[in-house]
Amino acid sequence: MVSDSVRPLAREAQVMPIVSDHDVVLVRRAARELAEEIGIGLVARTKLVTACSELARNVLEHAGGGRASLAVVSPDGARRHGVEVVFADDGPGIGDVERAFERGYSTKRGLGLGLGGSRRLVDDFALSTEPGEGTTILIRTWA
Amino acid sequence: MPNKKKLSARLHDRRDAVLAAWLKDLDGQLDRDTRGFRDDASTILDLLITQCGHAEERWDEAADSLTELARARVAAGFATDETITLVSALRSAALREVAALDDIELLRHLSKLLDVFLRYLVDAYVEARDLVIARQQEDLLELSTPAVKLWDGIVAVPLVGTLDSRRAVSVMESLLNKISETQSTIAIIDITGVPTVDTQVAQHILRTVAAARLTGARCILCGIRPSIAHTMVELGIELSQVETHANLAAAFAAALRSRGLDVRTSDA
Ligand SMILES: Nc1ncnc2c1ncn2[C@@H]1O[C@H](COP(=O)(O)OP(=O)(O)OP(=O)(O)O)[C@@H](O)[C@H]1O
Ligand SMILES: [Mg+2]
Repeated sequence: MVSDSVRPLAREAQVMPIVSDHDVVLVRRAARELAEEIGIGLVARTKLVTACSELARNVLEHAGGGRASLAVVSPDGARRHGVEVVFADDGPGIGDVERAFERGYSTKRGLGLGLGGSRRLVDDFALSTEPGEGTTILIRTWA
Repeated sequence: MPNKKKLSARLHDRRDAVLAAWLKDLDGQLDRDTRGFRDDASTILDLLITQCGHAEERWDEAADSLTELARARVAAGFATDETITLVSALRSAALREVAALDDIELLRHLSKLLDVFLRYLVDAYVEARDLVIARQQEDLLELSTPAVKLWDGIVAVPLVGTLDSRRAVSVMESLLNKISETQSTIAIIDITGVPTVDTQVAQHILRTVAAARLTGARCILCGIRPSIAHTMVELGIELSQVETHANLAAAFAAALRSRGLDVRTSDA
């Protein structure tokens, strides 16, 4: 089992299902709204939204569906705000995590850029997966 | 089951009366001419009578016929509330005829049958409508992704909105058709209106570029906003094979130039 510390800061989150293409769009939109709400700049916001798009689509394509939990978090009182999104599925899990992050590695004729790229697009990234149990990925972008 | 026989016999005997009552009721309630509906109405009624006589519950045949009828209603422009009026009018007409027999069991049986029957009819109707809506959406899809000819040998497609797989395929088709129809050698893809470019969108663009190349046309990409450019670089999307320009104007100017044309302010 591979497990970085997937430890959400959010105590409450907006949970959205990911079972169709349209749900990916909705998750993207919700993330964009939260990022705007806490004043994340255009470039960081676009990166966060794109990471959400990649991870949500991975849930859909490689795990047959799952959910995203979105929240605004502020760990040190109200001084710092961030958008936190946790993608969780009960799919097959990622067998070889290291390879999955590699540029060009795809089991579904994709470009194989989504997972590794997402990690570069956000401030915090944590992944936990176990074969047969599913995958959970947490991302955060700070304002 | 004697009940069923009795029921179907009664409706069979009173068929014309039920039909007349039904249509009369409809004439009063619907704003449209029901004459065109007469044939359908008798078909529906006969289905119901047959269904009453069936020893066991077999609905496939009735369901198929109802689906066909519902399609015809939808094609004729029947609205949802009109369909509901239509089925509830049948319900009262049939129940009225059987109520005259003063047999509560029979009435209950018919009412149960009608419930299932009407549900099939409404389901079939809704399904037919969904089909029409889906088709309209597809039409809209095509409309919203028109490739246009800008100049002899130059076509462009402005992409606007979320580029999901379905839309991406339709964009690609529209562009390739336009290329061959106009015998163009340059195709401009403008993504100014695309809010998110992820690996899926990138893959669709790259596929379109490759397909265009096979038909002998070169693609020029434009309208990549700075924030999206940053994101694409971070994601690792490789577009170095594709000529890119800041905006449509620059792309068009480059396209004209490469066809040996020059844009100048006239001397006059
Ligand atoms: N949630 C998941 N569950 C199971 N396997 C996954 C999941 N996410 C990613 N993977 C595996 O990791 C591989 C790499 O993912 P990545 O997103 O980088 O590429 P991709 O989805 O195949 O293509 P794309 O570049 O279009 O995203 C996938 O092909 C898949 O095998
Ligand atoms: Mg992916």
